[in-house]
Amino acid sequence: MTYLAQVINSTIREITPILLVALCAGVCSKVQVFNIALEGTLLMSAFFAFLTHYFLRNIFLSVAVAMAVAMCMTLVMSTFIVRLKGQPMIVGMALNTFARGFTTFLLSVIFHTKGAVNPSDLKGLTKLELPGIRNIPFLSTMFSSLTIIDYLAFVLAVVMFVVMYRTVIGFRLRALGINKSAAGSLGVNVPRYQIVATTLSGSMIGLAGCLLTLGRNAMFIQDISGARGYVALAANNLCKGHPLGAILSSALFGFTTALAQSLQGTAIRQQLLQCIPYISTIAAMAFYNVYAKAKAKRQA
Amino acid sequence: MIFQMKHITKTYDNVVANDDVSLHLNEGEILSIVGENGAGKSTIMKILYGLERPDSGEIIVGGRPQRFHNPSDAMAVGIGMVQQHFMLFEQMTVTENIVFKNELKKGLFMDMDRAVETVRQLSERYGLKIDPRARIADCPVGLRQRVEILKILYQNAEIIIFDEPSAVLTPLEVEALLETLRGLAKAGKSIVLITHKLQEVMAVSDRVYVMRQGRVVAERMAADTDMEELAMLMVGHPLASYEIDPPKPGPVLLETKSLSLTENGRRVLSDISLHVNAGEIVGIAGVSGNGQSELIRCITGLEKSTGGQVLVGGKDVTNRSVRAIRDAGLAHISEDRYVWGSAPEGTLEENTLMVRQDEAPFSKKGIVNQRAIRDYAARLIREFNVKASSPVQKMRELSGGNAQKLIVAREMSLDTPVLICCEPTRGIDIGAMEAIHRRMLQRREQGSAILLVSSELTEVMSLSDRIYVIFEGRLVGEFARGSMDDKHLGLLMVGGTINHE
Repeated sequence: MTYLAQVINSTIREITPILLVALCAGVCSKVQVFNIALEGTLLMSAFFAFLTHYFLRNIFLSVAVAMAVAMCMTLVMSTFIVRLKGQPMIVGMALNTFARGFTTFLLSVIFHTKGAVNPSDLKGLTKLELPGIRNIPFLSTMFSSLTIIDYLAFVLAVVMFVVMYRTVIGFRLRALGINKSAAGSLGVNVPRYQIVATTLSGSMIGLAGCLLTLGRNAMFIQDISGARGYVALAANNLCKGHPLGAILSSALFGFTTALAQSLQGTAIRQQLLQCIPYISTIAAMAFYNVYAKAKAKRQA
Repeated sequence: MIFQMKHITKTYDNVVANDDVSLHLNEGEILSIVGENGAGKSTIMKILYGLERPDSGEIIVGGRPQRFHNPSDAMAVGIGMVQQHFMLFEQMTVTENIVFKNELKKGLFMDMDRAVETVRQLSERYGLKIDPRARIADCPVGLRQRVEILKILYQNAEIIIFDEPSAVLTPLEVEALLETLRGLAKAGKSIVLITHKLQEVMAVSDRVYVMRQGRVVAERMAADTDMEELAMLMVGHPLASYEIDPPKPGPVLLETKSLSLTENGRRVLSDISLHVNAGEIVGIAGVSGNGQSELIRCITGLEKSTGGQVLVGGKDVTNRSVRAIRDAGLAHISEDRYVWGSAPEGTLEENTLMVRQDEAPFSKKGIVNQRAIRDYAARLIREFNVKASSPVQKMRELSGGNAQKLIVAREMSLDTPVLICCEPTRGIDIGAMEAIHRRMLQRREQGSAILLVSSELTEVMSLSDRIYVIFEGRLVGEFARGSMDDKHLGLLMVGGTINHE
């Protein structure tokens, strides 16, 4: 029973970074900016969250810096794609490669290491204890040591849903994503909407970055983003950019990651376990596409 | 006088698109501007709608001179345009499409209920029936156009420009559109109709401007003119009626035997058996969507048939590759000039070369000969009167009529025994149409076998020596020239039968 609660707990903690990134991916896909730089953006913001915290010991400032870095990365991405008409794939991969190289470089310059920095005296994000469940064993384990950002991720999913599907601004964003020239013909400055929307949504990747480096204890490991950016892209694809759907699709990937972790130390080979989240990503995408095709055929 | 354009001149590069054009529109009238493609009528309307700026001249709306920098400026003084290509959000509802940019809101939020109600009232006021909650993706073309009109009415436009509005509509929808135009004029809106369909002009307009080569060459009250006069003014000389010698049919060059096609369990083509002899034009008449497109695709190898045979020059080419079928002696002017007929992003040179890229002198052992290609393209452009600024410009920069002429030039220059012409003159002007028809007749004289598919009944009837009627994937009749009038043909096309007495 406790084991199950622990699995749920680590699942939640795996879900939230992916969910936050997927929410950003959702906005990008709705306004037709193909953002594959999610991975690099996540890595950069994770690194700078840690760096700021390491030197300034100020958790609020760290979160703010992470969000700013993520927004900068997203601004560069969307400016290159929207204004300068760069190939989204090339722009995205360039930023990802840059992020990887840049963080590795700073890691070795500042911390003189190529692996992990794990200062024992540095605390992570404040853990939020839900009142009233402390004495319920199952629930207290399930919700133990979650940070405010973990809870915020789910709130943001709902907020994003309301913004995208109920407000005027969300309506315009969805509409211009469907047909740019139609929106332009009515006098909407489409590139500006695209750039502003993607950049603002990039701040959510900043929050995800904080979870990676400051979520438990403060630490940074080379490549700490661990393809979560790509997984989030897949999760977003699965829910077609719907913010509430993103909770479900992120949960799928969060669960498989947690499953892989919890099976460690069993007879199954480590390398095989590490494949589980990625294989399930491919499987989910394949399954989804087959399903969508069958559905389209049935309708035709 | 609700608007006036005075001495408008506009040049692109070295081409004068509008040369000292002056025109005006009265309140509540339907004004038509007719002219061939490239006569400058679209340019003049783009200037009025703020999509283009004139080099010189003046636009006066509501008594004040105006300068439009973009469509929003034109919209602000009450000018709206229904574009030929709809600008709609497919996955959204009718209401959402109409209110976009001028949303009804409650604070930050959309007020959908009020928006739906507003659209409903608008549609009732102008008699444009529509379901405000329907999704655009589920609406047929006629309804989509209605949404475009409502969009403009929602923005309180007083002047509405229609650019070739009937080009995409079925005959029934055209009727409804003309009714709408009359209704809008009655409600006090002023309407500009740009078209080259003279029946529609005569059916609804009060007044007509005729444009040719960038100038206004005539102004007529609709009541004082007729289609013949307008057509003559448009082309600058009387329209030719073709003198066609009786056919001297030679051997069968194209034949299908019980050709059938089943798609997803649905029979699209059933037992199509037809033949085309040398020196003969054979037409296929039918309402679009009755299997014509699939039939041609099966013959030309673009689609695999599921039964029957295709013979070109006596050789069985059923379900062979497009290349193999073409090599057997067939050329194909395809239905959609940008999907099958050309590469819009390619240059004119590249587009003329297609099909012949492996032949000498255009290439040897895989190395292309630029000079031969250039000369060839230049020759076709000249011979077929394609209006182009350079052989290396992109295909999509040509007007529809000129693009079609280039495709016709390419396919006809292959000099194949069999020529398939699928909608050879769709959406192009009278001059280009006449030129293409003459080429087809010339090829007939030279002994080619020509299969013509067209949704324009008059085209099929005036050119064909024999006509097959297709309905729901079946041939339901075959007639020689002159043995059938268009009324009977029309009846067969919609599945009726002829009462033999």
